[in-house]
Amino acid sequence: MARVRRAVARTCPRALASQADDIAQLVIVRLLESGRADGGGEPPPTSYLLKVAWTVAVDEIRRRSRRPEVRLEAMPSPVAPEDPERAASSREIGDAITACLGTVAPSRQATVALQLLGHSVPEIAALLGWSGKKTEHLAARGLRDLRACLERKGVIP
Amino acid sequence: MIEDLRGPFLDRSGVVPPCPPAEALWDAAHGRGDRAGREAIAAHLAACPACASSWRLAQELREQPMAAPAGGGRLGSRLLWALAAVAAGAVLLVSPLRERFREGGTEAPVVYRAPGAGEPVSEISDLSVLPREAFVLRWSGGPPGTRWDLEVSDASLRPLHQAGGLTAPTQRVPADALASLPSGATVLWQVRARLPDGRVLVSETWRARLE
Repeated sequence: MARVRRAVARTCPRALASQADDIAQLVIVRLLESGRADGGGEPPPTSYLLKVAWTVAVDEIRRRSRRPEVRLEAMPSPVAPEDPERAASSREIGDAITACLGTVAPSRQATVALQLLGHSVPEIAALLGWSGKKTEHLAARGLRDLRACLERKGVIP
Repeated sequence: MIEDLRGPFLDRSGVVPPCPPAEALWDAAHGRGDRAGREAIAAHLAACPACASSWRLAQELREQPMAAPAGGGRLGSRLLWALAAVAAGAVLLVSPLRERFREGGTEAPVVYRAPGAGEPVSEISDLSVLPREAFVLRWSGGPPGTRWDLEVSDASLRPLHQAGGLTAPTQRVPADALASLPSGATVLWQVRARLPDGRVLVSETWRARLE
């Protein structure tokens, strides 16, 4: 149970902290369902434990997001509350990025999104099973498309 | 003011296409699953900031062992989950873009991130069903000259097979090593890459199933 709680602590967003025990119970249920926590054998590997805890947390976030009465309070502000100007700018840019990415080809969407999430081109190639050259090409084209779109929107001077 | 922004911001997520199952998202973030599915999920990240921030956390969990108890070490996760409010992510997302745009070229330069390069990646799908007589594990990652160590165990982590100093990213597990397992049993396997520069990169624990 201590390992489950630690896994939940690693994967559970602060907004769900008050439900951490419930999430831990759900993790245990899933482990039992998968036959990985029968109490008599070896404990599940850490990587598997993290996966289960992470999926339970994501499912819970999605469930809560479908309940408008709780979702607004559930998610923490990504920008300091004392900085509304920055928040407004952030939202504007975020909306523009989403809109612009929606206009580029799916393969370029994928590479740009993964780059924006911090992946290198070799990592993207490995994740998507593409050649390095293809990935590099798509990444460069995708960023070019995004930049052009953002400039048209006046988001990037 | 920020509260005023949350409503429109979260409403935007209402038009996002249906999200993939969380397990599929996790698997894709670890390079598992079929290629078309991984591509579709990666493209979905462009439209769905919530899944994007979940992806970030999955990556963080992959890169960091579960050594530190909850406390100060949770800061990174909290920051990542804070991004789940979606538009927020734009601050982080756009910063590197702006750096690239400032360089003024017609083609934005590709930025390479060293950590993670060379890390073993499974070349078979999670929970692939493999025949007992041809239980072949395949992976990739690592520059020329990389050597790999392989450890195979059953679901209770009982060692079944080990191989060290492999020069090719594939290994057939002898049928004898699997003799004690029933059909349908889950087999865990992990690869340790010994790179030419001396670094050692340990993979995730992957799963396969015995036919």
